Amino acid sequence: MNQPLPNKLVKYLASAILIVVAAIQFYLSKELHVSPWKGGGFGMFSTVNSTNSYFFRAYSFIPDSSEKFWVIIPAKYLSEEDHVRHYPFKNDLQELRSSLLKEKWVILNREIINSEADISHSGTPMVITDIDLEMWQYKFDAQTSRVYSCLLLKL
Amino acid sequence: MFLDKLTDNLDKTKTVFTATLLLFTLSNSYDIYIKGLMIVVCMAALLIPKLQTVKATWLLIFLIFAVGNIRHYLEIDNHKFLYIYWSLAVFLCLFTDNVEGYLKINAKLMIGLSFSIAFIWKLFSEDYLNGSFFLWTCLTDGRLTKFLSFFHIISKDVIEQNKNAIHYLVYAAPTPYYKQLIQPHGVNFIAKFFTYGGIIMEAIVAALFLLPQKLSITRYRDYPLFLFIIIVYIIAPVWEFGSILSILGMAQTDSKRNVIYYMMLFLLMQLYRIILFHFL
Repeated sequence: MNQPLPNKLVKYLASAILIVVAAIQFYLSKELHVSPWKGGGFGMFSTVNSTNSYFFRAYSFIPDSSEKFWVIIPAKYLSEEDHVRHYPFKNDLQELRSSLLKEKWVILNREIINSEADISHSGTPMVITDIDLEMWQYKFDAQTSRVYSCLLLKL
Repeated sequence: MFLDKLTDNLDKTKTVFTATLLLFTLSNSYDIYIKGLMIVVCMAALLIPKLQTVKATWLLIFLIFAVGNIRHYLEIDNHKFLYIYWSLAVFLCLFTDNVEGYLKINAKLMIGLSFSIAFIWKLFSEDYLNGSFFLWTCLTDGRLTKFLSFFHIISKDVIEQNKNAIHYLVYAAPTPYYKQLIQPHGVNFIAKFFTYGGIIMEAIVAALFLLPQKLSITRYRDYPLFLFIIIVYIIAPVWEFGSILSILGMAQTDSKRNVIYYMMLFLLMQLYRIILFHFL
């Protein structure tokens, strides 16, 4: 490891990689909803769009009913949700959805709760065959001081 | 004169290496195994100074950071990327017979490029130049609201009500289209001040670090960077970013006295970490 390296390689390689990684992050954020706050793009403190601004909604129809119920995503999926916040791609959202479909649910007050998360409620656990899973983002308008929600992805 | 005495036998490269290894030892990590490996390698190099100029040390550090963090590529903070680039740069510079000179070039470029890119993000952001980002941050972000409520610019009640509004937006079903936040008098002005102050400072630092050194104005490049590090990291709790900027600053400065100032900033970042972020 003692051969001299070309001067330009020593001077510019690290910086060249910096530029390439930042350019990739710029593209991911503009085209694929990735937050500018991470990923080596140096876009932190430039936008409200941090990973905290992403949130999820899940809905389902219970068997033999035409009514749509809100599905409460159990707390044990917090790390999966966090993963999708950082990697907001359809495949990653699909993996979260597939995990939710393996759970069993009970109905409570026009909501559906995972029966394993709340065992104090009596009710027959059931399997849901379909869940509509949505990823939303909140944004802020300085003119009106309003925070508003936007739908980003839907399965 | 006291500072002149401190800089008498100062070995800038050794100081930069030591500060870098200290930072890497103290830095947080996503992965406990990465953190463990990094602590062992960096502490070994700190205890055995000869290891600091061994290429394999810095190659190992670069590989631990790069390979260890690749799984978390979109999750890790931007200063961790600077750690990867800097450890690679140190490794490459050790192949030359002018380590200090090549470290200076790399450090100057990294500072200039990271500030330029940050400036470009703000220029093209849909919610920066109109003041939305900083107004949002003043009204809702725990770090800045603590700072503002300390100076009685925003009350804890308002902060609480704004947090509840966001909580309702996120958790209510069906999803409401919007929620109104409370904006106390004077906060908009502060937000505009941070907005334009921030982008102007970044532009100045970027320009001074990227302009050719033959331009005499670049001699003063350290001073806006000092100011940036001192002011920004009081509010933004990213002491690691301030620390790596201090180290890069140390590596690229032409003045031995400024090496001491950057060292003081490096120490100041540790104080910020412990005092400001625990008690504010």
